Amino acid sequence: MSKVKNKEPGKSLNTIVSDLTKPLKTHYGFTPWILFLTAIMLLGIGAYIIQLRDGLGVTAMRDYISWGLYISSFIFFIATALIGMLISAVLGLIGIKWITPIARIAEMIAVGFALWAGLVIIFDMGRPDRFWHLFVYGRVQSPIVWDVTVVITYVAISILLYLLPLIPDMPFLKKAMTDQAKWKQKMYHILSFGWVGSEGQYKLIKRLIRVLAVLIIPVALAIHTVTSWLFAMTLRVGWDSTIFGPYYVTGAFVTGGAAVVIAMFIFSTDFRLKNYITHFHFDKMGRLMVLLMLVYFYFNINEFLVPGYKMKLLEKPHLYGLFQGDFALMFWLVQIGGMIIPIILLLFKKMRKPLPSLIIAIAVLIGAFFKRYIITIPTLMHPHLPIQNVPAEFHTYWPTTFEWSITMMAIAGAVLVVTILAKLFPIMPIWEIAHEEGITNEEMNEFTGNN
Amino acid sequence: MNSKKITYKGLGIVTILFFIFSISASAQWNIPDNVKNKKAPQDATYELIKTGKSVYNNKCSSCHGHPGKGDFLKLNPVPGDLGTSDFQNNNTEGSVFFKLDEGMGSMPSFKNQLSETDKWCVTFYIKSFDDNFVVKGKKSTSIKTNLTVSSDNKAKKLKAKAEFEDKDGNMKVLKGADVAFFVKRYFGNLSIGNVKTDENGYAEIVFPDDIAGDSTGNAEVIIKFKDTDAYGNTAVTKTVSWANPVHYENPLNERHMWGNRSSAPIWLLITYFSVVIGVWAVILWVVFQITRIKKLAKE
Repeated sequence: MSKVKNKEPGKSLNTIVSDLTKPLKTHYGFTPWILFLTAIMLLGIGAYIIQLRDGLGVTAMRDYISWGLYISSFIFFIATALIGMLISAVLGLIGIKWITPIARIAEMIAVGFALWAGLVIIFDMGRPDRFWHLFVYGRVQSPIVWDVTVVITYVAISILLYLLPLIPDMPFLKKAMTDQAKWKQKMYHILSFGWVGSEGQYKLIKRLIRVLAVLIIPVALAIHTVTSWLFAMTLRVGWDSTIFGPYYVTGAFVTGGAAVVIAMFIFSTDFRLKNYITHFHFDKMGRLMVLLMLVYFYFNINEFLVPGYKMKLLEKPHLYGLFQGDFALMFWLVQIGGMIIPIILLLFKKMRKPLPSLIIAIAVLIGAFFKRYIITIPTLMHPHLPIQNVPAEFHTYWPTTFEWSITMMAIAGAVLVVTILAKLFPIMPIWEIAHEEGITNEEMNEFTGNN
Repeated sequence: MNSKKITYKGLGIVTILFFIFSISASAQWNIPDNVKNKKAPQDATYELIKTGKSVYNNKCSSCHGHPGKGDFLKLNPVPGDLGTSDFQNNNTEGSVFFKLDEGMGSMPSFKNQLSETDKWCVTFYIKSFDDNFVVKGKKSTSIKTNLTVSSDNKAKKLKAKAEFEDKDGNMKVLKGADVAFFVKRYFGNLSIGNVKTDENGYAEIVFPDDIAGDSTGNAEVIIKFKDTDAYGNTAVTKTVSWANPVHYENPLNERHMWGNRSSAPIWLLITYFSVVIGVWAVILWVVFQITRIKKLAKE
């Protein structure tokens, strides 16, 4: 790999450790941020309690449009979580070096969003107390059973992939955080699992990370392919598509990539880590986003041009609704503002600088959220058997305040998980950064007093 | 070809298609004049209208909705609300009867599905939304008839004997009356013969050999008079065992993707469980390996 540009040469281990642990000690702006997230969550919890008491009738979902904002948010969460696999596993295994400072950020996003994806599904249940029925009475033939299986598996592997590279950092934390609360020091001690930085330990941890990195690739592909199968395995207009699996997977990479760019910006400025997450990294992520979005664009062409060319009688009202009907504004905003314009902009070097990248990534992420909405709801409005003899409200859908509150709670919850992790543990692997700076294991052990 | 020509050609095709479409969509009922003036064999009574309403709700309301409510289905051609004055003024008793008897396009014919009386009852019910429609008391018209059916298992023959009650109340042989034979099917009745009774009042048919029955070859045959106006709704139902047995296999008994949980396909069970067990074995192995870190501290 070529030498990383823009990077100040020769950071000492001392600088690295103090740079990366300082954000764990200073709490400037931390309390208002946590209060803000907690307020959103409390609002959502209140809404959910009312939903539990009164049932799903408080949502706008009815007999025909029975999947609404919750399910579209669920796909969005799963999609965002998928980036952990792409960055730390795929790019890591290929041996791409520039991902070192952002791999853990991607993994944090994966853990936070995958955890909450599982919860969002439960919010959509009218009788969450019967969730265990799925394990006792579930059919192996059902994609829902597959989905629950892979979500749980992915969460487990993501947590391990977050935890394992953390272990060699623990001695640094033990040393640097002596002025911090007792429980934190105790936690760092437990999570070090007796790490002293011996050669055998390095060999083992690298091997375990490699095994999990290989394992998470098929599992991550499975999680989003199976999520797409929840739709594609049904004979419904707009979902009955053979490319739904790859269509979702590529869409997920775009979503997660945007989330990582946003997190990179926030962490590099707020944690004062601009020397670690540099313009060079934003440039690389921008290029990666262009590639991912071009692939996604290609799948979009297939997904809409092929049925649009044939205009099968049953699909016609659905496609017209997207192209020029009720959903046209949202559809074209998402497709053009959330995909085509970002692709074009990111082709320019100036647009791959941190601030423009951030703005583009926010547009992509909002577009990605509403793209899931557009995949879920319009199809349900066009069943093969005509909707008849039902109240007028059954024909339309727009989420109620309850649905928005609960969805916002889920988003705040996932961000809260990322925030807490970022406040307890360094957001970059100290040992890997040190390795890249040419610092040897012996020097590190000397620093932590483990030799 | 230049683009202008293509445009004109396209416009031409569109116009022709539009023309054809509008003709096909606006196909009209062709109701003969004598049918328009046809009157029911009996006067409408409130009781008959009540019967008609229940038949209507069963057979007609799924498309036409409830008369006067405008809740008909949006189909092409439009089924329309039968309770409007527009419909009532343009359709006599005879026309309504004719329409439901014959059907047109997506409107099905109820000729064999409903009895004459039921069809008139429905007509009365629909016409009862006309302010000028007269409802009277009961009035019996048809003579009292009787049908007895015997079967010949060997020859697979059905023999119906028709009788009627004369003025003095004695049963007499009914000659020259059309007797209709139907096999009861899932939707409506399948006609298998129309025979005039002979001078002894008998009508006989041979049961066709291509009728599907239930798993034991049983089929229900309905025998009635064709001219219900003259002979009433006398009908006899007889179960015969001459049909071809049909065995319906319940797909839920085999291993299928759509089966219940105990009949999942073997290949799926193997795939699912081997993948789940395999992946979780690796995860647990990794978790176990973490505990080895401490042991490796000295190496």
